[in-house]
This record gives sequence, structure tokens and C-alpha cells, in this order.
Amino acid sequence: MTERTETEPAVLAHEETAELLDVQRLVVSSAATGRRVVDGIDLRIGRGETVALVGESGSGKSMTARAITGLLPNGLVAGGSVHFAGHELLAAGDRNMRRVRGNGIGLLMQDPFTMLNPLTTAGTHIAETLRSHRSRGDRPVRGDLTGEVADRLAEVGITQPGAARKYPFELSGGMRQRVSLAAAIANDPALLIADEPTTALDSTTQREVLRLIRRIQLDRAMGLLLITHDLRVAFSLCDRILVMRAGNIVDAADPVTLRAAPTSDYTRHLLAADLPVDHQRPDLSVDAPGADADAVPLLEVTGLTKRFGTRRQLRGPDGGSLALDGVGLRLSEGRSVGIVGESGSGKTTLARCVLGLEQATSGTIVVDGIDVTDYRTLSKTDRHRARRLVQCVFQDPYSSLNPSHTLRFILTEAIRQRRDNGTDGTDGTDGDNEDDDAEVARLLADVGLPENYARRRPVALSGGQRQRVAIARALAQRPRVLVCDEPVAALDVSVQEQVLRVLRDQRARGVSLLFITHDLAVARHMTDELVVLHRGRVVESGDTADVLDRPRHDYTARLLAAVPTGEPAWLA
Amino acid sequence: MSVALVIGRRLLAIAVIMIVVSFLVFAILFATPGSPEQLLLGAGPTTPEALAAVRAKYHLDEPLFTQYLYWLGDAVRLDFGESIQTSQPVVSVLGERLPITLFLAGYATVIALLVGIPSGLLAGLRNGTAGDRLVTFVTTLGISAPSFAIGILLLYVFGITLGWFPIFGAGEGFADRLLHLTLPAVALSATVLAIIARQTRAAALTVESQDYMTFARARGLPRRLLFGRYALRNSSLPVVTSSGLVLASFLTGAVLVEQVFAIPGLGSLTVAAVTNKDVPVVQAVALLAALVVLVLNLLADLAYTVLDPRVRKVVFPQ
Repeated sequence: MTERTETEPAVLAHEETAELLDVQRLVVSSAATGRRVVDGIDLRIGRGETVALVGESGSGKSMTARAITGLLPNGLVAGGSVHFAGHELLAAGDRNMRRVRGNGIGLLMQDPFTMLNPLTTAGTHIAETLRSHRSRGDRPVRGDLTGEVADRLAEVGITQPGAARKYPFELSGGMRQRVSLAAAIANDPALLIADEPTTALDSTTQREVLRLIRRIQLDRAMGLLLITHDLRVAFSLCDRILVMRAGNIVDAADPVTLRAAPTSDYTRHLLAADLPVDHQRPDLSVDAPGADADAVPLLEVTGLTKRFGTRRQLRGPDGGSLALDGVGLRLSEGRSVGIVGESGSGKTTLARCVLGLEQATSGTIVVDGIDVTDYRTLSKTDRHRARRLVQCVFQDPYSSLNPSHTLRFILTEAIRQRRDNGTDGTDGTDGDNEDDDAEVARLLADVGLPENYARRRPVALSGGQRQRVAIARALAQRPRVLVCDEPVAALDVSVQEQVLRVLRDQRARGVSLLFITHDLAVARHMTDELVVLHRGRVVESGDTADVLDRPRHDYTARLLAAVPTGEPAWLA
Repeated sequence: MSVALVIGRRLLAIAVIMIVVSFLVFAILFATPGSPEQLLLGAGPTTPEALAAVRAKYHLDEPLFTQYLYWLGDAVRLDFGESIQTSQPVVSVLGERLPITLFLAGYATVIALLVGIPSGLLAGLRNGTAGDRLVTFVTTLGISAPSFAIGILLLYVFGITLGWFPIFGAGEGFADRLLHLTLPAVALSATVLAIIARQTRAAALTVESQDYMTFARARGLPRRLLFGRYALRNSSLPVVTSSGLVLASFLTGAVLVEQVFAIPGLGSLTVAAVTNKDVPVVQAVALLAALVVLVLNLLADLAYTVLDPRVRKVVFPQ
């Protein structure tokens, strides 16, 4: 597996230095403005050592990885020094860096869906890496590499025959990430930099891929720099952890020390923001007023089935692909029901059916006594009422707000729509501007934003603030059910909590939540009942505490086991 | 679905569209001012006997739809009647002119692709450099300058002042023809070349910032792989999609360029035919143009299918 050629570039003549990578006073700054993204950090990795760089978005952790490999985006420049295996990389020039990349340092990136060339096969990705670092003379012909490519795929756990001939779009996210890993380490680099390698993956897949990285790292005694936002993943996998914030390293220690005695306030804050999955943090618990599970349900879904496909497929024997298969749930006033499951389990399809954005194939959906299974057949009044009663908060606050409008415009639009539809039931008659402004201010206050934010546009807000505006927009309709589709999945840990608190407050006011999430810790804190979806079927449902403490179904147990514990044993 | 079936379906669609087009083309005769008999008779003596002969020959006494069917039946057998100007069969007139225009259009295509794609790719991958700015400047010129203006300029500089190229005619034999048609082909390709370069540049800009390019660099892949397998193949997809229509524009573009360089091609034939109300020739040229556009689009779609495995596996599942 580790056959080396004699034409190894001089740059990689491994000297026996203690440190594999020695980064000193690394600065990454904008060439135009001089603004520093990375502000003079030091970083050392020994041979076979695993080091984590932990931080939230914008902390500069990814740019550190890019700077080490000489792959900074246009407009950013690096200063300081990066020593790798006895050679200075920052001044190495592109030709020399090309020898180091893939050969000395491998880089694995975050998104398996965009990392591979969509036009070439898995095998080609590995073969091209294998070939590219051999000199012209002994560069093997394509056919001779078939065996080696198969070996490399086997190393990352892909043994199915014909896998090498698959195109990226034919593989799942986890498989793609395995192929990427095999391609990144095909030339046996001494150091692997993995930039959020499992963030885009499902939790069970995340654990498998992390285990794989761990095993290969140990087998090869490869140095590993893991870049992650997830402290627990870092705790499980790494010997040393560096916490990064705003371009600086604010904490550096081994996992045990860091957990027990963090030196910076920021690390303490991060540790405190962590949501446990095995119990509810007391400061986040909720006593909803009418939280009576047996009351008349506000939303009732019965035997909901949804098939996707072309018209011909739907009529055919398989009937298209089955996204939802006889799903049922009840949501009463002031309650919160969580839908959990991995990607492809049908969570979002269920939400879209409830919102009337997708037409169910069969089954019924009843909202406050109105059968909304088919929005097209409703009378105008009923349709307006149903649309108002059920509102939605989407996952990505960066794309769910119109960037060209101010918050006042966004919220006023929603308020007016409610009034115009005349289903308000409250004031309804009064539509003058002053009233609108007062309501905008109140809505902003409800989600914890100051009144003067009304003049801002979404671009001037952080992700968490945007998500709170999205919630305020939904609340402007005075809904009774809020469908939350992964409302905190795109947010940093430290702002997740603010958004969750806003939602918790709304529950306390009697708004029911249909809470869709892949994150069991979030589900533990935000829901009374859980519905576990697996491939479109409900495999388990019940009281949240019961389901999470005593899972009855295998799949639920697997999901629970996939939640990072922060212990090394988790990846053993 | 087999490859043959997919292509067969597309050909069927082309046939249907061609029938609709043929009806419109047939209607040209009636849309042209003057009576059909008079038109078809041209400058000949309008004796009652001659008129009757024309009426009989073109079935002008039959109902309109029957006339159309007669005409269509002949057209399918490539019989478009005789040119009014020369009294030669239209097919042989086209047969003389078509090879020259095809040569010209093919030459222009080669120039447009061989220059447009690499320069666009280079500009996109070296975004912001002097080379990028040069390509952007030149393509702006190419898009805004009409082909006949470029043609006259080329003619003046390289034909008359420098004397490197002949200034009129199509030449005999391959080498001579290549020499004769170089300046016209450059003039004809200028606009299309600029459009292709622009599109390639935009596509390359998008591709350049994709994760797979960074990941390819991070594995230390050689530059030729980055350019070829990564940048070129991925940026060619949007370019290929639109190339069908862009290349078809060479047929219409040829009209002006052939006038400027006095080339006896399809373009100059069309101009003469329209000027002289030579309806049979105009009809044949119009049908040919429609067919070329449809076939080029089919070829572009097939090329896309071959290039992109995501489409290939949907269109041709194993």
C-alpha cells in the first residue's frame, strides 16, 4: 500500500524533525483592504499526531487550512511561516507546492456533493492522483492502475465490484466522502488536513467516516489536522485542540484539560452552549400552558403517503419513489412534536405536504377542523385561514429573506397580507401605517431584536438574527402552528440557543410547533413528542423523553449512538 | 431506452417541425406581391398559352391544399422546380453554391471553436489578469462590430494593402479555396467567436471557484489535467448547449460576408433570389436553413448527452 517511487521530489526528503508541520505567526489578510482573517497564529503538528482546530463560521479556521496548502482564494494573501517536513511552504512557489499537495499534505474538504468532478468516475479521481506524482517514465498506464484503485477503495471500505466506474452523482454523500478521502490520501501524505469532513453528512454516516479517518490515521501514523465546529467530535478524535475565534487561537489544550479548565471565556461559552442529548438543560425547559396531549388536535395527519416520479412512473408498477408511507401524527394546542430522521427519511416532504407546497398522494391532513389535504379544493376563506394558521420557518436564513427589502417591508408585507385576507379575527379593520409600525416593533421585540433594526436589510444581519426575522415574519400571520424545518441547522452553536429560546417563548404563548430536525439534542430540548421517520415510515413515536431514554426501534438506537459523546471510545 | 430510439424520436420531431415550416415556405409564393403565374413566369412573354402552361405545371387550378401536397411531394424528392432567373433546376443551382458556403461555415466554425474556447478558458481561469482584460476587450469589439465591417477592414488591410490574401472569389481546389476563404471565414466567425469566448469565460469563472477545482489542486494534479479534464470539460457544457443556434447563425451571417468578398455561395444566391422574386430558390433556401438549425440543435444535444454522465445515464439507462 505504501509503495514509493525513487523519483520522490526533493521537497519531501523527510528529515527527522520532531515537528511535521510548524506554523508560525501565520497571517491571512485581504490584499485589497489588509483586513486580517487569520491574525498571527502558531500551530504545530507532530508525526502521527491529531490536532483539532475548532471554531465557528468566520473564525478563520478554513482559511488557515487553505493557507497551509497554498490554496487561498483570490484576493487573500498569507504571511508568516509554514514549515512542513523541513521546508518553508509560503515561499515555495506554485511548482513546488504542486509536489507537496496530495503527496506531502492531503486536503479533504467539507462538501462531498461538490468536491468531486461530476464528469469523471470515482476510479478516475483516485487514479489521477496516483499518476500525477510519478515521473513521466514510470507513470503507469491507465489499465495497470485498476488493481491499485480497487485497493485504495477497499481501504476506505468500498468493496462493491464496479464501484470505481460509478460517477459521483450515482453515490451517496457518505460514499462520495469515502471516495474523496481515498483520492486525498492516495499518495500517502504524511499530513491530512480534513476541513469539516463530516458536517454535510448524516449523523450515522458521520460516525462511520470519522471512524474510518481515525483508523487510517492510526494505521499510517499520519498527522491529522481536523477542522471542525463541533467540540465533541474534536474531543473524540484529537490529541490536542486549538480553539479559534476571529482569527486568533484563544485556547490550546488536550481534550481533558480543555473540558475541565478552559482558559478563555469564549471556550467556556462554547462548552456552555452545548446541548446534551441525554437530559434537558434546566435553563431551556418549558412549561407550556395548554400542553395537554389528549386535547382536540390542532393538526392531524393520517395515513399520509407521498410518491414522487414522472406521470408514467406513478402509473407504473413501482408507482414512483415512495417518500412518505402512511405517516400519522397529532399536534395539540401548545404542544411541540418533533420529526427526526436522516436525510431522505421524508421529514421535509412531510413539512411541505402540511404547508400545502406538495400534494400528498393519499391520506389526510386536517388543520383546526379544515381538511387541507388538497389546498386546491378549499374555498377561498378556508384556504386563507389554513394558510395563515400554519406558518413555516425554513432552514437557511440566508436564502429565505428577500435581500432587497428592509425588515420593515418584509414584516409589514406579512401583516398586511393577514389583514387583507380578512381572516384575522382580531382588529382587521384598522390598517393605517402607524399601527403597522407599532406591530413591526412588537414583532421584532418578540424575537429579541431592537426596534431600529426595522430599517436594516437582511445583509446587515447575522445568520441567527436573520432566522429570528424569519420567525417574526411567520408570527406576523398569527399562526397557531409553526412548522420549523431544521431552524438551527445552519447556525453556529452560540447563536442556536438564541433562536431556540425565541421558539420556546412562542410555545409558552400557545403556538404549537412541528419541529423537524436531524439533531436529537435539539429535539430533546424543543419537543414533547417525537416521531422517528426512516425511509418515509414512522418507526417509532411517543413521549420525547421515553423515545430518547428507552428507544424501542433499532433505527432510533442507531441515531442515538451516532450522537457524538466527546469520548475517544465513541470512535473506537 | 436505446440510443436509436432516442435519436429516432428526435428525428420524428424534426420531421414534424419541417412539415410546419414547409407550409409556411409554400405560402411564400402567395405572400409575394403579384400573381403566382406572373411570378413563376418571370420575365418571359405573358401569352395566354404560357400562363396556361404555368398553371398546369404548378397545379395552380387545384385547391390550395392539393397544390401544397403536390409541392411537398416534389420537395421531398428534392425537386423545387426551376429557378426563374436561370431556368436551371433549383437543386443544381443549390448544388453549385452549397459546397462553397458549407466550406466557409465549416472554416468559420473551426476558427470560432479553436480560438474562442481556449481564449475564454484562459480569461476565466486567469480572471483579472492582463490576458483576461485583453480577451474581454477584443470580444466586446467582436460582438459589436458587424461582420461586413470586419470583412471590409480585413479586405483592405490583408487583401489590398498587404496583398497576402486574394480579394474575391472562392478559389479552385482545397488549398486555393482555403486561401480564398480565410478572410471571409475570419470575418464571419468574429461575432460567434466573441460570443463563444464570452460564454466559455463565464463558465470557466464559475468552474474555477468550484470545490472540485480546489480539491483537484489540493491533490497536486498537473496543470494539463486541471485545464482539460476539469476546467475545459465542465465549462464546455453550457457552451455546447447554445452552440447549435450560434453555429446556425453562420448560414444567415454568410449573406453579408459573401457579398463583401464576392463569393458565389448560398448567401449571395439568396440575396439575388429575393431581389429577383425567384420564389422557388427562396423556398429551397428557407427549407434548407430550417433543416440546418434543427439538425445542429440535435447534434448539440447529443454532444451534451455524451459529455455529461448525469444526462447520459438518464437518457440511456443501462
